[in-house]
Amino acid sequence: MEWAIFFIIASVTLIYALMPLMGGRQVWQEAPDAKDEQIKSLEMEKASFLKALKDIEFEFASNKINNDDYDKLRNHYRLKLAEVMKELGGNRDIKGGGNKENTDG
Amino acid sequence: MVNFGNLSQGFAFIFSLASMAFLLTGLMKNDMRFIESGRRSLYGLALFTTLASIALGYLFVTDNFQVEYVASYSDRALPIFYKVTAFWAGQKGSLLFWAWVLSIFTAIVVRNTRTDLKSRNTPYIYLVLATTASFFLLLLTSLSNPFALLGFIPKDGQGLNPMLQNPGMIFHPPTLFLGYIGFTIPFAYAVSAMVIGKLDETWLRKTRRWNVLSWVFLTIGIILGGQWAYVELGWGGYWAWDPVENASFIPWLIATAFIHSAIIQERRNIMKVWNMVLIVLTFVSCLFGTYLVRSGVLQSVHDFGATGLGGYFLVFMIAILLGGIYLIAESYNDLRTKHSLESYLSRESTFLFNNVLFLAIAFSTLFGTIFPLISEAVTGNKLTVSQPFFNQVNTPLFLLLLLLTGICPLIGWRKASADNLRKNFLVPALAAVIGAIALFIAGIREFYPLTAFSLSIFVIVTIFNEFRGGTMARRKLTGEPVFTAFPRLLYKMRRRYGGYIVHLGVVIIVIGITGSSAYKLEAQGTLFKGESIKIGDYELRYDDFRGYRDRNRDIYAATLKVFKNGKPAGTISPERRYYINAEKPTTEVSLRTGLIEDLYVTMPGIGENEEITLKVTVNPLLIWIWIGGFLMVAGGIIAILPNRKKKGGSNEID
Repeated sequence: MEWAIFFIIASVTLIYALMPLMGGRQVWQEAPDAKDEQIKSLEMEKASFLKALKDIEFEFASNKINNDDYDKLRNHYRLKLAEVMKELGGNRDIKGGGNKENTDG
Repeated sequence: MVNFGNLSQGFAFIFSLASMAFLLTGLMKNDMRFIESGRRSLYGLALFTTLASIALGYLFVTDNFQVEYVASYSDRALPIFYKVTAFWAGQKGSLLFWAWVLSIFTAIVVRNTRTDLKSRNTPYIYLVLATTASFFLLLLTSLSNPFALLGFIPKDGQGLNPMLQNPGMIFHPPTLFLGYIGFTIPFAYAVSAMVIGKLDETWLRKTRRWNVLSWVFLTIGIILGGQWAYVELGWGGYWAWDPVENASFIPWLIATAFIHSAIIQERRNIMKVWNMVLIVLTFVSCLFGTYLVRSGVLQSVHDFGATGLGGYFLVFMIAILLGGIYLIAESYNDLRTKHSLESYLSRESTFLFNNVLFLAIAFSTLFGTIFPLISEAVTGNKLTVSQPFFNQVNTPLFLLLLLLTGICPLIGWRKASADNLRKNFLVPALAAVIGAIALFIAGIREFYPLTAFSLSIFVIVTIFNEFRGGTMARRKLTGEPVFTAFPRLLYKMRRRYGGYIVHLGVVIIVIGITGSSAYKLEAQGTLFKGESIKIGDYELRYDDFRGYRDRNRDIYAATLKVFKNGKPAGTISPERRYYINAEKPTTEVSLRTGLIEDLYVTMPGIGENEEITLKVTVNPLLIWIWIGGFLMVAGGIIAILPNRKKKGGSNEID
């Protein structure tokens, strides 16, 4: 009985694990799209600058930084955020245009 | 069932190897089919380790003493609860437990990443997990098989060590193991990030809950271990810098440093190299801890290779270290960031200092732990390093850490303004100075206790100020009333405030440790019936003695009437137990615990005329260690509570 139960469980699990090999070949990774990677990285930078700005607001409200430092830090991160968003906008335009070209072509 | 267990264990090994082979083939051929098979094989691995574990549990419960492992750690008279938990009482069962839990954790990761199979890092994560599981299954199937049979069937087993027959010891090893094993997941993510060169903070974000959860388990394990030592070993303390204790404390220290520096990387995108170093060290120290407590190597360095396990563990740990160093070196240029600390007066820099201190304590503890092994290997003589070494080296470092725990919340991220810092410092510093003067007048004049208590006041006031200031800031930003702003602050910024609760727990533990170690009272004496022993405000009168049989032990108990400041304060009843199958009797602690102090009584000896030898200890503030431990765990859990709304992410500052 013990053997029979084990045999059934083992067979079902083996079939489950090996089943994908029965089908035709599927490519796992397409060639990486450098533009996509760059956009992802810029998105992450944008998120981190937004977070930094929220931090600064909270630190200022909790009296951890004075008016001068608050203004300096806030302006610094706002500028950085603007730069990233500009770059992101540019990249998206190129990406969108590229895709369109491909589709059209 | 023995065959069922053996086969399940063997199949688990086959599935882990198959998973590795499929994943490697899929990666080399860029073929999704193989990667999918590799992924599915990991479910197979989890299934068969579960079956093997059920089989071992069944063999314990059914007293199958032909199985050598069962015969070594159980007997017929053992209560069923302890029979089940004897599973992890020895090396073989512990290794199976490792493989089992790792495979379950792996299955959870596989399930959570089922839609990420196209991501470049996912197969590498699986590969690291499958390789680690394969290592443990290799040990189980070749060197340390819990299903191995004896050549005969003994009438009864040797039984479980009486000292392990304690509820604390039931949960202590598995919680520690859960912590050790949990760190395999962030390690796997870190390795995969380095292999594919995706070195941003994504891997840290994805493993944050695993990191903190593993840390919580390690914390629970360490606290339960201390509690077990306190109530079971009978020497009146809870921590002796024993190698087994240190084996769990070292990974905890490194992991704590890692959790702090991971926060910096997530926020500031700096310290990438350092985090990679720390996660590799954390994982290696977890393996080291597992090996150290279950190998017998602590008795003698020569036992390292006695079971053959030592060599395998050593090779695996070296491979991980070298592999980690290689990957970090290869990724070094990408890991280096253009960002840096904006100011030395920032929370980031306090985190940096705390990292240095955590690692200094970890390495001094490691040095003290393995020094006997090194000395034995080099000189042939085992030179032990005892408690004074650890206390002298680590106490000042712990106090510095405590100071940083207080300073850290006062400083903002990125840059703190000196004038604001001065303002924020004023109240906690004043409270600490006033507290120190009051304590000095009250008679606390030794340097370390006075410093520890004063710093504790400083940190507690800082933390309360932080909760108050945070609530006010939220109120200012959102316009919410205080009673709404506070709970929302706690929930919305649970990562930060959960961390503060952990810090509060640490301070309370410091208070407990300081009180119970610096102001402990001890007395010992032999009493005949009617005689008394005095200690501090207490007097204990020996009234009665009785002996009886309970399940698998003979018990001899004395009854003592307790008087505090001359007034009756109940009775206390220390015991001496003679377990069947145990060579030596054990002492059972009788404990009266309170918020101010514990009265702790053991009975190391019984004479022919029922005279008893008593050891009495008064441990001030000791209960605060357990309360602080509870707060640490609660804070850790709060910090990783999931979001109610999954989609869209949180816009709150965290």
